[in-house]
Amino acid sequence: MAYQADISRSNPGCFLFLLDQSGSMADGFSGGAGHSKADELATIINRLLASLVIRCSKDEGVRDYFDVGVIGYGSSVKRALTIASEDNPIVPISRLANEPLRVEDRVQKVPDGAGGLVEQTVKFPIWVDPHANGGTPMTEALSQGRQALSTWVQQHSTAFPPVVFNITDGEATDGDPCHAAQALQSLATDDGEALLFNVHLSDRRAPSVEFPASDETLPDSFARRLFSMSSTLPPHLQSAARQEGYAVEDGTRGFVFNADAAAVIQFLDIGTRPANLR
Amino acid sequence: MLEPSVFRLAKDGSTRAEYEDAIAWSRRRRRFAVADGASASAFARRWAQLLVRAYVSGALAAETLEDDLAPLQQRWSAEVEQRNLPWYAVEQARRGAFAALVGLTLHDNATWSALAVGDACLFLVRDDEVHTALPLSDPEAFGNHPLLLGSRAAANTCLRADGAIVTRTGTWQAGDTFLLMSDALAATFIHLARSRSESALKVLEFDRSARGFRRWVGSLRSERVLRNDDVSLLWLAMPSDAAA
Repeated sequence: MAYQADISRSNPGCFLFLLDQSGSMADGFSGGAGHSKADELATIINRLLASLVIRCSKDEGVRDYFDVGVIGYGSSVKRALTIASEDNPIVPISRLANEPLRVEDRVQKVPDGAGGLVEQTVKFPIWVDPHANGGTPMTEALSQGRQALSTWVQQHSTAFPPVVFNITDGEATDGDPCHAAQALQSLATDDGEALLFNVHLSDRRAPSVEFPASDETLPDSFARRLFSMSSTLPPHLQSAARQEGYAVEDGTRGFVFNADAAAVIQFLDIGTRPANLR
Repeated sequence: MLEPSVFRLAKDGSTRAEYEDAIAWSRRRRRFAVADGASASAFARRWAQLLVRAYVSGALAAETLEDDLAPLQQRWSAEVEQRNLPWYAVEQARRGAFAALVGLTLHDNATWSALAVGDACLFLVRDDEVHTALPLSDPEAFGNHPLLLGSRAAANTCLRADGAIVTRTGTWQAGDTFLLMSDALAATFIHLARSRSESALKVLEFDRSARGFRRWVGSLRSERVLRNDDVSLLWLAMPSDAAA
């Protein structure tokens, strides 16, 4: 059965994030407290990367349970992690852990143990800064993602397949991305095909559609295209989504349309849960 | 004389030093404990060690558990924070470590009491059957994420209200066997004990040596009957003179 492989240091998993950095990302974000989509997305991705690092952090340091890559697409398509090489956007998570651009101190409210909240300073590493410029070359981003992952799956033939998150606020401006998406999804390890999940960001207060199993409730052809580009959730992510209160069935796709900030965080949290982390 | 047999093995792909369970016992106090440090937290091995040692020394009681944990939390915190830690370890330390704990105490008059938090389990096998199981007795229940004992006090505020502190008392007889296990082995044991018609103890079909245990666990893992996790087993057979 597919999507059963244990994730271990000898058999790591891989997450690749494709971030829309087009000019429209400078617009406001629903639920983003006045911040632009670009600002909010950078914060969400930095927090998620930190959470992945912390998940892999043990007494002796960070264990390489995951390889991670980020590709930004806007005025150009390129690696968004400056520590990655020009020809490979993917790095082991221990490198990510030890080489953020900077580590900021941020104040956060945490439980005080007596039913209240107390402000505490926490370390907030930054790997990705916000960008908003140019068009939406999503097709090229998917192609570059495929290129990086084709090497990765060759090197990790027994691993849990790569999971790719494409986060965008608009339609591709460089042609139909469906073929590039299919090519990416056709990459496979012995444990199954690469998973492509799509997140559409909303700048208006419109109802979001989360984890749909069909395209019937989607408002337009753009939404239906993103749905068609999204992989079906494997069983362990179906369970994770169900635990978070989503109505999930066998055909449920890894897709959210018109997501506000909270929905993006929730979606990425569910989507990055490993099957069997060892 | 009560003498438990103890078996432990790190998860496949990990070194012995990366084993995050802990086992302790005191023959004098007749107390036995197994703790399972949560893989998702750091410094969990040390937290699990502190818990089992505190239990067997008599320093953890169900009625006063939150207060009893305070000195252990201070010690854990002092040990962790004296190191020069990178940002991710600082964050892990801030969140704290987590562990499941199961402890057994034998009393006079052939009675026993047990305390369990999380999914580390105690089984009492009598007349070839699982007579008592706690805190979990259903193999399906092991897939959930139970509340665990946290090394930060703030993590433990809901334990009591949520019924996560499980206690049990009972009597034992000569010929009984107590088994204390971390969760992966406990889930497999209860599943196999239910599905097979033979004696419950026959489920544990390895020769009683570290090597035999390693081979047996290896075969269960390769058959995917046992989840690849740290495994710990404390086996206490009650002889006829144990009440003395």
